[in-house]
This record gives sequence, structure tokens and C-alpha cells, in this order.
Amino acid sequence: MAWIAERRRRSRFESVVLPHLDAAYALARWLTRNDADAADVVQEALLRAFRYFDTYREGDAKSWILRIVRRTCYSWLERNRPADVVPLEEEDGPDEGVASAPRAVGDTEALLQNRSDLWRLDVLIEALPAPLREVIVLRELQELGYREIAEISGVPIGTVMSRLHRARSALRRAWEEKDIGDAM
Amino acid sequence: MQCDEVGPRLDAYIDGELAEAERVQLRDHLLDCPDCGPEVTALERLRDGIRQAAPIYRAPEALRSRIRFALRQEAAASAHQAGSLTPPRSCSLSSSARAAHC
Repeated sequence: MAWIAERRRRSRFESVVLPHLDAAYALARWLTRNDADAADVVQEALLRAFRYFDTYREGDAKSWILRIVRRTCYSWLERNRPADVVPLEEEDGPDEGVASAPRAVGDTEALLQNRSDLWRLDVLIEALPAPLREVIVLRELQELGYREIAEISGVPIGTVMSRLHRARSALRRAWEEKDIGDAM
Repeated sequence: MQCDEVGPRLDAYIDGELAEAERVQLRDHLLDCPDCGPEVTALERLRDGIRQAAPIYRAPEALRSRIRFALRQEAAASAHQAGSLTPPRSCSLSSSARAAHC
């Protein structure tokens, strides 16, 4: 009874995945920076997840679906907006992340300072390079732990730490400079 | 612990992600250090600022419906490929009747 089996599979998929639809959409929205694109990406990601649902093992459904949404986002960006997928300047390896992370902050700060419209934190976040934006969204807005973020992003925990540090340092400097500028 | 060792550990500290021994070490350093102590306050202020300033994006209802529809189509296509050309008559029955039928 293929029809019945598919109906059950769909029903199970919906009960496992759809509770995380808001989180999936939020991640896609922050990465694509556009409502319609985020909706397209999420639909594509969920259909892909449904096709491979048999490989899903009971566990953290949210991390599972966010990992697929993230991957779909980057594929979509590479196809449609390749300029948005620039690799991070000199990424720290997992072993040296803590000691050497601060040296790369300057480049991201320079990127933020080249924009004249960056006067709100949400706009500052949108201006971050995608991998740094992603880690800020997963940590600060989705409130996920480093291990979950590492799993979703497919990087070691040391890289999550160094990316968070870089992202926060850049945001902080740009935000505080704006505060100082406003006060003068 | 020295100031130049703090770096990203400070982020992990405010996120509650440090192992206990390292957390205690860093906490002791923060109590004594006039430079690193205020860094914690600044990071927490940034975190609060982000959570207040960032819009909360939720999936639009239209997207939810669109996905459910697409999933139904996908499931139907899979069933079709598996050799079941039309839904069994029981699928239009109530769930108890369907269970009895299947």
C-alpha cells in the first residue's frame, strides 16, 4: 500500500519538522536578506529533507532541519548571488582558534565601516559576512549552544568560538562608534 | 590567566560554554583585571542590544500552506512511482474506517 505508507511518512515528517518552520525561515531570512527568497529556499530545503527523511534518525530535529536549510541557502546564494558567498578571510583552524582569532577582526570591521547606513544593530548584523551573520543568528536569536551550532554549520566548536568572537567584536566596535558619534 | 589568553574565551564565558575549571580561572581573572572585567559588561550589553534590535522573523502562513501542498504532491508522486496509481478508496474514509479497511 504505497499510498498509505507515503501518507504516514508525510504525516510523520510534518510532525517532526514543521514545529521548526519558524526557526528555518528565520535562518533563511537572515542569510538571504529577503522575504521571498527565504520562502523559496525554505520550501526547497524542506522538500529535499522530505526526500531524504528515511535517513533521519530520532534526535535533534531542529539541528537536522537547520543544517539542511543552511546548506540550501548557501547553494541558492552561490547560484543567484555569488558575491554574497565570499569566503572569510583567513579562517582559524580548530586548534589555533582561540589564540589567533582577533587578528582577523579588522577586515570585518572595515567592511562595516564602509557602509553609511549602518546605524542600527539589525542592519549591522545584515552587513556581516554570511558565516559571521549565521553564527550570530544561531547563538543570539535561536539561542543554540556551541555544539548545536557546530553541527548545523559543519565546523568544529573552536571555529564557532572564533567566528562568534569576530562577529561580536566587529558589531561592538561599529555600534559603539555610532553611539560615540551620536553623542558628539 | 593573562589578558592575552582571554579573547574568544570571554564570549564562551558569557554564553555559559566554558568547562568548569576554565570558567573559574577566567572568573578569577575578571575579578582582578581592570581591563577584562568591563569587557564582560560590554559583551552582555551587545547581546541584549542584538536581542532587542533584531526583528523576529516567522514563517508566513502562506509559506506553511505552500509547503504542506508541495509535500502532498511529493508524497503522491512517490506513491505513484511505487506503483500505486490512485489513492485507495479507504483514504477518503474516516481514519477508523480506513484502519479497518487496511
